[in-house]
Amino acid sequence: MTCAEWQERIAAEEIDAGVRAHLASCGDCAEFVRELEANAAALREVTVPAAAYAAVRARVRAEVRRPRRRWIWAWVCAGAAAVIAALVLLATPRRAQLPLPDVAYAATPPHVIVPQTPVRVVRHRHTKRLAPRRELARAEQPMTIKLQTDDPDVVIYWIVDGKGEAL
Amino acid sequence: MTERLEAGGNADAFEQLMHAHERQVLGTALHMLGRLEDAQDAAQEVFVRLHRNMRKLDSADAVRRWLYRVTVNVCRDMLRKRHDTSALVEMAAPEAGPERLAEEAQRSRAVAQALRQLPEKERAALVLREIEGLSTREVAEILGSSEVTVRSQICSARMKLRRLTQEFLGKKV
Repeated sequence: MTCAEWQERIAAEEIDAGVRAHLASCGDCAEFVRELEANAAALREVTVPAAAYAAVRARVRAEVRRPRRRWIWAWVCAGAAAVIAALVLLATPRRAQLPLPDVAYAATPPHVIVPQTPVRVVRHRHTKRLAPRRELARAEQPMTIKLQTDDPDVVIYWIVDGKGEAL
Repeated sequence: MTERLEAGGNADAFEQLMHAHERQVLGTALHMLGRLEDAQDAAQEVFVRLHRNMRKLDSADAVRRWLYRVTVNVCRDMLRKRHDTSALVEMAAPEAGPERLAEEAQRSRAVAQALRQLPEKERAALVLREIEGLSTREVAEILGSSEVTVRSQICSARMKLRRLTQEFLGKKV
């Protein structure tokens, strides 16, 4: 067995009679053991300043108290929310029994974005130019105006006659 | 202590636990992380977790083992999150006073520096075995490994620590 192999066994704490016998006769391996012991001792000597402990304690105390306050506020908020919800529930049926005022129907119309140039829906079936008379008659036909609101799901179609009056 | 814990983990019991185990937690964290500020952060996290879990721990020994396990885990998490490993050699090795030989102080610094170079698992195993003096079985339990694995990690860690220390001290390897 080489010294490297003995040292592996020593580092792995596989100390038996064979290792002890080798250590008694090998200066290099005995020095290896002394080095390991010196390293371990050096590691154990590392000290933590006393103030560091106090600082940790103070920080821990502050931290463990904080969640309690949060819970108190959470309960307060939950209670307030429950009271408000109960009041709303109590008030809602009474309102429903009252007839709706007429003004409710006269509410302001939704804000619409009117296109500057209303699109006229025209289908050209004939490539031939229409006679002026027919074109005039066509101008009197109803037009469809598409109104777009702020809500993309709401589109209003407005059908007007040639003079611009609603039909 | 156990009765007090069972009684509901009051503030006094928690304070006692903190005092009793602060050296264990902060010392282990300092050896694992190598920087006092980081070690304090880790210790704070560990004790806050202890505060939440103290009712589950039914004996002083359970608390001690639980603290080792959580300390190592918290330190590992911090090491994984820490990208900058250049400033890892701040561990406070003792200063060379008149009563100490300069060579010993130099070795302490070199060993502290070498410890930082060890792989995370080997470092944890070595710290628990060599510094905290736990048995191989206890270390294996805390790290969630087998005794064989831990023995191998400790062996490897000792060999590397020796080689690195010699390098830092400028000796032939």
